[in-house]
Amino acid sequence: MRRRLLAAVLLVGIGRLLSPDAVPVYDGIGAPDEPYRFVAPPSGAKKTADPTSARATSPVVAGVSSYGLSVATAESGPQFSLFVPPRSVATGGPTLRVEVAPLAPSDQPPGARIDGNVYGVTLTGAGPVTLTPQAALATLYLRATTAAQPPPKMQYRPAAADPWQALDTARAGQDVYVSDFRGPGQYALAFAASAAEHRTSRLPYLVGGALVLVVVVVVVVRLRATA
Amino acid sequence: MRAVALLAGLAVAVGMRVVVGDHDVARSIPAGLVFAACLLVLSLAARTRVPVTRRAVVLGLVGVVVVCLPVGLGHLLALRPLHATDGFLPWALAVIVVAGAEEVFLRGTLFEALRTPWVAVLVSAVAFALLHVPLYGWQAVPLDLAVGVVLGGLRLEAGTAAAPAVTHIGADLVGWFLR
Repeated sequence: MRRRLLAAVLLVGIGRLLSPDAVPVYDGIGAPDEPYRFVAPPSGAKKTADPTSARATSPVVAGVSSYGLSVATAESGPQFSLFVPPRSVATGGPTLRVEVAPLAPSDQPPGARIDGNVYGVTLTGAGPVTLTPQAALATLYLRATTAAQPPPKMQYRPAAADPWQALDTARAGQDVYVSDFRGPGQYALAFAASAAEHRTSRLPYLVGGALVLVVVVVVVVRLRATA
Repeated sequence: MRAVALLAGLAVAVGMRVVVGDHDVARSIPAGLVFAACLLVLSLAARTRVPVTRRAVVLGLVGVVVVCLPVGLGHLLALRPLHATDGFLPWALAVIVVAGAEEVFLRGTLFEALRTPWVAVLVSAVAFALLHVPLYGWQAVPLDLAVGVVLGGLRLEAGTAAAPAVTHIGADLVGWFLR
């Protein structure tokens, strides 16, 4: 019995290692996130606490950040997360500081509408701060206010005065999107302004599914009767 | 033949869930309940019985520890705080229904239809892993496959789907706090 228990723990442990980002819920109703926290709530938005800021530091050794940096805001789930590998940022010592702050959108990308907050990212060291080739592995996640499809695109600009540029964006969860980290500046998600949500009636699918299910039930009952 | 019909029924149930859940299927409680209702209809049609014994409940509770240990240790080592209880109750009630229905169907109805024990463990584990793909993506398959095998082992050990049902429900409820 003890061996079987150990084998079971090992099996689940291996499964967990192979699924590092999987939620530890095995039935399928994912736990809900809290409502999105806006800097400037749109009319009709739920009253929430203010969105949070976040910061992290890394020692600078030989002119580069020596720690990997993980910065996430404190909402559940986080509205902003940034993962930067070690040696990704070149600057003067002794410390690199990463700060993230939510901002109200001040202007819109062309043909798109910003969803939720803009997040301003600053990197501060002693002297100029530049990204090293290692930073190509850095990723930035933003939570959208909705899981509506078609998906939004991550937008980036180095400074508030620069134009927004759309980044390659992948879906990383029901309403979470990931893109490469381009450096300090502003990040936001934006839905295409013209994209009315593509909705088709679900009724035919539901009726069809119910009919097939009835057929399956009849088959199961008949097979049970003949068994 | 019966197992094939049941697997077809499972596919329909997953499809119905995806249709009802639309773009937020993983968090849709109505979609989860429709899915559970489909599975329970199939289990009722097959006249599945799930005897609840003290041994099954104890084994199920041991299973909760087994399934949660690796995840919980990772959480502990990362020094992450436990998730707050806001919104827990309605979510938990839905999870109990959906997880219970999954076990009655997979480790009850389907398990009995397959007869050969190791085939039953394997097929029910693969079905368990695949039915979660529309919700969590392919990344969750290794973990769900491993947990599916453990749940199948519990079913064999206890002789009833009650043991994996206790484990499944318990692990899901603990999972809320380990997010």
